[in-house]
Amino acid sequence: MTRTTQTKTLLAGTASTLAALLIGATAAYAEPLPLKICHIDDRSGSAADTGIEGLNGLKMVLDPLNKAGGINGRQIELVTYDTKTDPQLAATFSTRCAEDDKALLMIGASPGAVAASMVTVANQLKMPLYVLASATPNLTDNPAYQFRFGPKVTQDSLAVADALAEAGIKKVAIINNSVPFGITGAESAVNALKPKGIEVLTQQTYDVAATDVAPQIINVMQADPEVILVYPYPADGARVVRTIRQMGLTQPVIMPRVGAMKAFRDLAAETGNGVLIPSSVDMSRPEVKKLFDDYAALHGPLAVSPSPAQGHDAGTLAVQVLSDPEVQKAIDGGDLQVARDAIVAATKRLGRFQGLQGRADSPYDLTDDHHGPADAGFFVFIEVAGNGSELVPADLSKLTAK
Amino acid sequence: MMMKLSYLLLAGLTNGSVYGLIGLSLSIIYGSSRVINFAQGEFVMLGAMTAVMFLATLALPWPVALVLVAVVAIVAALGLDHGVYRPLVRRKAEPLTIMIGTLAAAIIIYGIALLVWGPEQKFVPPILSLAPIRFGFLMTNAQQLAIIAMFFGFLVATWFLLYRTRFGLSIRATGVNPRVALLMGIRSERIVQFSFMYSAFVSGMAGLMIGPLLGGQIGMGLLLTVKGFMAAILGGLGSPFAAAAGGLAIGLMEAFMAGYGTSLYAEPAIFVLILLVLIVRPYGLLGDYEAERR
Amino acid sequence: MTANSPPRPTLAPVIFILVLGALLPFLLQSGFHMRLAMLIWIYAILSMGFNLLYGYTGQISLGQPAFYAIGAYGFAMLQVKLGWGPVPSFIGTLVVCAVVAVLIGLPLLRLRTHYLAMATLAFMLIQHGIANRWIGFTGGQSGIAIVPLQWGGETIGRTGLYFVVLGMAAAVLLLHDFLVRSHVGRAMQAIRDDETAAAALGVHVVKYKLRILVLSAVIAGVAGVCFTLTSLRVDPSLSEFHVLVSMLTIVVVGGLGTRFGPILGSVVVVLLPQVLTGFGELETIVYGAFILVFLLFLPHGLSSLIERRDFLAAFKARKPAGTGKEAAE
Repeated sequence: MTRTTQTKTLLAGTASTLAALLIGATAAYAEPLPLKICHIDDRSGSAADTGIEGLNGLKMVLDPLNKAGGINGRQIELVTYDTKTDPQLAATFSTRCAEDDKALLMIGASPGAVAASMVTVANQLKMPLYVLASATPNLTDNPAYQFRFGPKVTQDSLAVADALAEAGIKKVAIINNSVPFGITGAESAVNALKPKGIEVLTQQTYDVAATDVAPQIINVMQADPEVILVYPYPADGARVVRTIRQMGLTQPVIMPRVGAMKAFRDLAAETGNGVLIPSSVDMSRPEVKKLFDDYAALHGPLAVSPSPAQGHDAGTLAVQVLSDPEVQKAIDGGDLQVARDAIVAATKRLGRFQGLQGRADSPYDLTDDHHGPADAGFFVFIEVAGNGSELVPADLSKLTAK
Repeated sequence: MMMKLSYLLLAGLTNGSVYGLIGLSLSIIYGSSRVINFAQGEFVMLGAMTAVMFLATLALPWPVALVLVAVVAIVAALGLDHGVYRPLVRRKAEPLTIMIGTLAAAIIIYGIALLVWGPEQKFVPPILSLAPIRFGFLMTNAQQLAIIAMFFGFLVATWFLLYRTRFGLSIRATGVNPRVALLMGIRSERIVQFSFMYSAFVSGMAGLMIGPLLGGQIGMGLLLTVKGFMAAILGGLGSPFAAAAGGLAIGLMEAFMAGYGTSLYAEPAIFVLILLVLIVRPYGLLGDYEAERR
Repeated sequence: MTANSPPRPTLAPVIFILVLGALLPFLLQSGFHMRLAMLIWIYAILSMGFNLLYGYTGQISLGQPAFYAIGAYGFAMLQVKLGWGPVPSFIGTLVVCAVVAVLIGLPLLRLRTHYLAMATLAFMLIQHGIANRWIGFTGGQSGIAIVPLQWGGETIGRTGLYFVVLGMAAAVLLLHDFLVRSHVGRAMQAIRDDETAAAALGVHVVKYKLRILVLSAVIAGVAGVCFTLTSLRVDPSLSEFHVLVSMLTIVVVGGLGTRFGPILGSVVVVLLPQVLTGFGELETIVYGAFILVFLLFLPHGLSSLIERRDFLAAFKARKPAGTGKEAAE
C-alpha cells in the first residue's frame, strides 16, 4: 500500500488556513472524517496498463491540489491497492477500504470481472464507487452506488453501428480473439448491429497464441463483407490486419480501442494505415491534447488511450464532490455513512459535466439512473496514418456500401 | 477449395511448430528429470522480452542479440536447476511437488519481468521480413517460415543429440532410471542440468522468433506453457518427438476447427478431443515408449 | 493400526479449531476481518478436498477449481434460472458436481501422475472456456448475481453468514478428519504409496479412487457455494489460474497429507496478500519466493511444526519418526 499523502505545505493561502481553523473549531465535538479515497485496480496483471494509466491520471488531479493546500486546507489521502486480475482479491480490498480504511470513495475497477465484484461490494456496503475503464455492459444497469467513467463496450459498438448505418453498409464480418475482451466485444457488436439492419456475415475467433490467423481470414474473405470489425489485443491485431491486407482484402477495418495502441501500430506498420478507431478521447480538443502532453512529461510518451482521461475525469469530479458544501457538512459531521450517501447525492447532482473524455459537446451523464458517459455522440473516429506513426481524424467517406 | 485447404495446412503447420517447440522443450526436461516444468512458457517470454531489450532498446545487431537472448534463457534455466530442482531432489521431494516448485519459479520470473519491462504489450522487432512471400496462391512471410524451419531444425538436432552421441545415450539412460545410470558412472545431475539448459535454449529461441508475431507481454508465458502441456500429453510426454508431434496436431486441429467448424469453441473442443485421446491411449498418441517402460 | 504408525490422534484439536472459529466473530472488530475469516474457511474447504485426493490418495487433480466453479455456477443458476430455493439449489449443485466427477473420473483415473494432472487441467480449461464463451447461458464475463441468503424473510447479516460458512467448513473438516483416521484413510494412503501393493492387500483401488475423486469434487462444490454466498456473484474467474495457484500454495504451505495443513495454509494464503501490499511492485516476486522457501525449508508445511507439538502434548511417549512419516508426501 502506498500512501501518497503529502505533508501540508506551509504555502497554503491564509484564507484556506483560516477556513481550516474555523472548520476545526466548529467540528471540535465531532471529529471530521479524513478525506480518504482508495484506488483499487489491476497494476500487475493482464490489465495493468489501464490500471496504471488511470491511477496516473487521477494523481495528476490530486497531487497539484494537495500541493496547493487540499480542500479547505485538508489533504486528500489516496490509498492504493493492486488487485491483479483477481476479482476475489478486488472484493477483499474493497471491503478493507470501506471498513478498515474507512475511506469515503473508491475509484478503479478496470478489468470487467474485477469491476463486477467491486460493484457488488459497493452496493452491499453502501460505498460510492467510480468505475474507470471497465467496458462490461450491464455494470450500471441498476445503478445505486456505482458510477462509470469508461463507456460500455456496447457504446463503442453503438458508435460503430451508427457510423455504418449512416454509410448505408449492410454486411459486416467480425474477427475477435478468444480472451474475454474479444469475445465480449464481438458479442456486443452483434447486438448493436442487428437492430440497425446490418447483417453479420461471419464471426471468427482466433487464439491469442496462434501465430498464423490465415484460416479465420480465409473465412472472412469467402463471406465477402463490406467492412471488417476486429476485436483483438495489440499484437494479434497487427497479425490480423497484416494478414487481411496481404491476402488482398481491401475493405475498411474498424478496430475499437486497440487500434490506437502503440504496440499495435508499430507491429502493423504500413498495413495499419487507414484502420478506423472509435475513440472516446478527442485529441483535437486542446485541453485533451494538454492532458496527454502533461502526462508524457511526467510518465513518458503515451499513445491515445482513454485511461488517463478517465482517471483524470474521475479525480476532477471527486474533488468537486468532496468540495461540495453539503458533502463537507456531512464530512464534518463525522458520520461515515451520511458522508458516503452525501457523496452519491452530490455525484448525481454534479454528474452532468464536460470531462476530458468524449466529444466537446457531450458531457458525462452520471445523473439519476444513468451513471455513465453519454450513450450517443461520445465517440469520435480516428484513423491510423503514416505507417503507424500517427493517429489522425478519420475519413469516414471510405465506409461505402458495395 | 484447394486454396482454403492449403492455407489451413500452412497455418496449422506454423502454429503447430510453435506449440511443438514448447512441447519439445517441456519433454526434454521431463525426459531427464520426470518434472513437468510450469516455467517453460516463461523461458519463451524471456526470449521475446529480451529480444525487445537487445534489439529495440539497445539496438544491437541481431547476431549479438541472438547470443544474448540465449544467454539469458540459459541463465534462467540454471537458476531453475540450482535454485529449485536440485535442492528439492536432495530433499527427496516427489516429482509433483517439484512441479509446484517450478510454478513458484514461474511466479518469480513473472515478478522480475514485471519490474524490468512493465505490463504493456511490447513491439518485438522482427529479425526477418514480415513482407509477403508467395508460392502460387499461397502466401506467408519469412518470419513464419523461419519458425517452421526452426522447429524441424531443433527436431533434427535433438534426434542427433539423443541418438547419435554418447552424451545422448547418457541422457536417455538417466531418463529411464537415474539411480541405475548413476551406478553406471553417469552423473545424472549434470545430465539434468544440460537438459534444463538445452530446453531453455529451444524455448528462448522460440520466443525470439514468435515475439514479432505474438508481441511481447510478460503474461504470455502461461498461455504458451498450457499449449505446451497439451501438446506434450497429446503426443506423449516421454519422448520429445511425440510431444512435438502433439504440438503439430494441435496446430492443425485449431486450423481445421476454425476453417470448417466453430472458431469460437475451437479451444475447448480441442481440449475435449485431447481428453478423448487420453482415454483411449493413456500415455498419449505416441506414448508406447513410456507405457512399456512402466 | 500397525505398531509402526503414530498413536491414534484424538478429536481434541478439531474441536479446538472449531471453537476458535465460533469465537472469531466476537473477537474481530471490522466486517473486513470477517470477510477474511470467511475466505479462509472457503479456501480451507477447497483445499481439504484436494488434500484427500492428492495428499492422502496421491491422485493429483488440477481440475479442482473447475468443480469449485461448477458448484458456484450451479448454486447461482438453479436459483436464478429455475427459481429454486437456496437449500434445494445447494443439494442440486452438489449432485451436479458428483455426476460430472463420475463422468470425468471413470475414464481419467486410469491415467497416472503427470498425465492425470494435465488431463484434469484440460478439464479446468474446458470449463473455463465454456463459462467465458457461452454468454447466453453463463452470463460470460459479467457472470450471474444472486440475492443474499435469507432467513424468515430477512437477509442474513455477515455474522450469520459467517456461521453458515463455518458450519459447512466444520462438516467438511469432521468428514476429512473421520476419513483420514478410519480404515478408509489407510486404504487411501496404501493407494498413494503403491497401487499394486494396495490391490494385493485387497483394497479395491479403482473404486476407492473414484469415490475420493467424487468426494473431493463435491467438497470443492461446497467451497464454491460458500464463495457465492459471500460474494453474491459467480463469474469465470472462479476457475482461473490464480485459484489453482492459491490451492496448490495452501497445501504446500500447510503440509500435504496432514490433518490440518489445509486450514493452516489457508490462513497464510488469504492473509499474505493483505500483508504483502506493503511490498508494492515486489509483491509478485515475494509471493513466489515465499512458496519456494516453504518447499525447500519446510517440506511438510506448517503442520509438521504444529502437529508434532500437538501429539507431544497428547501422547508423551511417541516414536520419533511418527508424525513426520504421516506428513511425508
